[in-house]
Amino acid sequence: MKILAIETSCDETCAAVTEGTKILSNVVWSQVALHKEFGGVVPSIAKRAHEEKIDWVINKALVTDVDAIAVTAGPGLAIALEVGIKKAKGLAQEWDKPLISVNHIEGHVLSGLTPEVRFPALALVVSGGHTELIWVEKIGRYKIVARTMDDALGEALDKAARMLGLGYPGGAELEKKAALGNPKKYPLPLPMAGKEKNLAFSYSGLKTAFYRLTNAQRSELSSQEVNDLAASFQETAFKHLLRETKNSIAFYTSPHPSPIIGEGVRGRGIHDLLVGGGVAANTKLREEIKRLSDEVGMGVYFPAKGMYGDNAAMIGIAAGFRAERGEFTDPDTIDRRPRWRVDEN
Amino acid sequence: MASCIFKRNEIKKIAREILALHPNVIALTGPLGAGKTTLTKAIAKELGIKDIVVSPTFILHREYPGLDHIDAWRVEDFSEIERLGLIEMIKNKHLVIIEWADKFRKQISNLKSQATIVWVKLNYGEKENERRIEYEDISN
Repeated sequence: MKILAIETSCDETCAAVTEGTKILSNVVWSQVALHKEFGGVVPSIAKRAHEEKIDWVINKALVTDVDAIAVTAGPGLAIALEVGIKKAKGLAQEWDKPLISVNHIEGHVLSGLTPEVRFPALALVVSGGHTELIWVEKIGRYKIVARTMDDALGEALDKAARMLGLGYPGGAELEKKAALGNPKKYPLPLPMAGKEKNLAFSYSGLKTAFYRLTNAQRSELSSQEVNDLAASFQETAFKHLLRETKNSIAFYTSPHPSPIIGEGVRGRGIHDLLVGGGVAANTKLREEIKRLSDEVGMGVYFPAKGMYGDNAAMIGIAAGFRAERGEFTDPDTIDRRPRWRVDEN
Repeated sequence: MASCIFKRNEIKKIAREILALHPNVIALTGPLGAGKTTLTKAIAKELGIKDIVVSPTFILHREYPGLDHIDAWRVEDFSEIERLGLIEMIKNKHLVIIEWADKFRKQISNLKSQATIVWVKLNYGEKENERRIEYEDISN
């Protein structure tokens, strides 16, 4: 079944055509704009102006006829989701094709999927807007294990970059500086330290500590100071992420019942780690995750280039599995779900 | 009001004091880490909202029963905030909390004929678990 997938949950306007897990096309407006496909003159259309871009990305993605339409119904920004949904609904009705509504987080969970992945698995989704650990019993059966209580990791990195006076995009600039710095130079408080029994992420305390640290500087920061501060922030931010991931793994592989996860999954174990989301494009983070997975004896699967950030191909892939399970949506009742949890129907 | 210092465990009292002014819009200002989202969490709790309130920086807007939480950190133009349905939110008697509101001070202040706006300025205090707060109701 060939599926046209549409994704407009936040900043990006995306369309793709997939067939099972095969990607026939994958169009993301900002990446297209970067490649200057407009003969050198890039039309400057504002971020999130989805209405103005959606027809273009769909036309570009339609390299073949399709059998179904898929769209991200949530989670995300309500008014942005509505643009994709309206378009998908219209096309489904016009072409008389089935409609599949997809969860954005599920897209990220499956963005690095290959036939080798063994289930149950644990998925780590880290982006500007999301930081979640999800137990994946099998494709389509999820349970959120941990989420952020305040800031997402991508947001934390972005704000740290701003505090160092770095440009856009913050996370990428921070990574560049961090690569040149000493991560041990400025010790920062590890979030949720002493709260190991709670599986959750928290970055607001780290943000405050970093603010105090960078604000305390009398004179302008030297280049090396910026590098060291960037490295130190990343170090602690990633350490927190990995620690919660490791604790989650311990809960699932422990023979003892976990009050958080419940009896039903005790001893089921986790075989592999799935990683997704824009922050996973950070090379240092991938190194650290790989180190953890080696340590605990699990396989780890990262998305291919172009699949880390928001994109419609991952939505199409998720939709393919939903279609196999017969999970179609009535175009008359499809609605945006800005707070749709991945473990909710 | 004059500015005052409050401790982390006094935030509930602060949330109640602000809600007692019956705001339609709470415009939060203050540097990174000053406590804008933390104060929003406390206000949401007073409103009986059970969901975990998280930072809407990337998503721009998160809605809860009776509460809309907007973050202007990534917003480039006030029209983006208007397009979120700001006027409808106010008309529907939702409480709208806007973080980094100083970015659009003039445009938000212009709403004062339609809404009771309370401007809240947060800052760091002397000690780690302390913050400084100043707030005022500037509606007609």
